[in-house]
Amino acid sequence: MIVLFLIGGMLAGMAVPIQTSINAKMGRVVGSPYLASLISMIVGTMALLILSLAIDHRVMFDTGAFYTHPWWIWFGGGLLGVTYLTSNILLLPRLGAALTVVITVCGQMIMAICIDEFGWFGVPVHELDIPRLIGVLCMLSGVFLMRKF
Amino acid sequence: MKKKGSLLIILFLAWGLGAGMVSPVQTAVNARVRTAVGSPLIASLISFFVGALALVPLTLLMDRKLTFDPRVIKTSPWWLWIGGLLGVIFVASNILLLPLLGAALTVVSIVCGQMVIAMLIDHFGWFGVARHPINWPRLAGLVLLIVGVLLVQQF
Repeated sequence: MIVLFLIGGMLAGMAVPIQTSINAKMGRVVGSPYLASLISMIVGTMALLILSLAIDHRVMFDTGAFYTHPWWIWFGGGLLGVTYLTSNILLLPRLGAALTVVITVCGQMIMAICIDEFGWFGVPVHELDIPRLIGVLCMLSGVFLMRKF
Repeated sequence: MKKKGSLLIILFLAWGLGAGMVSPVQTAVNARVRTAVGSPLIASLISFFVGALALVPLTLLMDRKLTFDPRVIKTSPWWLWIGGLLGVIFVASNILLLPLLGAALTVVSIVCGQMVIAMLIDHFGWFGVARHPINWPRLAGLVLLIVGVLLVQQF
């Protein structure tokens, strides 16, 4: 069963570089990488609208949540998503697909370690240890090899 | 000239590192929205909707237009327009897999999938990407990345 889920994870991962490559090409066709990002987000929004209605039978939520949660959560995720998506579209034609994936994964791991180390966003503190440090060094060597050859 | 080119690449790599750093923060923020609205799908919907809204002024600012020649819809392949669906598949799978596999295995399997397909895209030059054949050092780089992700996620 777990093998099935792992394959599911790999397939989901494959969606990302394909999306970025498609969006980079769309950027050339419509004459603007930002417009390509926008079209991609609108298509995604519409798909999620249908999915939310189909699975949760609603798209609304208790507006009381606006008062009980910090204000930045409502647009933080979307703005960060735009930064990630648009950067990927701009970088892929310049770095190639593999190097773009490798460098953004490095950034993700470094940030994940920082979040754990300092317990940001209410995550339990998990200190940086030697194996994690070796892990980061491995990844950076991987970037070096990809960049060189 | 060559020196200027490699300086530019370093700049792009730093940019990519920064863009990657944004991703776990987004996940953390979206997890809070998910608890607030009581549905992972509605949380993703809010995230995509806000993203689309933010891209309208950004596109106007950078390229001074929001429309494109509609003739390109006929002359381009259909799959050009469905990139956003792949983004949704990615988000939804993440949400579904996380409780089944745990954080470490979810990240590792996703990164493996990303690397494999990215190498193939470069190797064959799919979707109009510049061709960059697979070779041993690149494969070694891939293995190092996966080992690195495993070490960071397991400890």
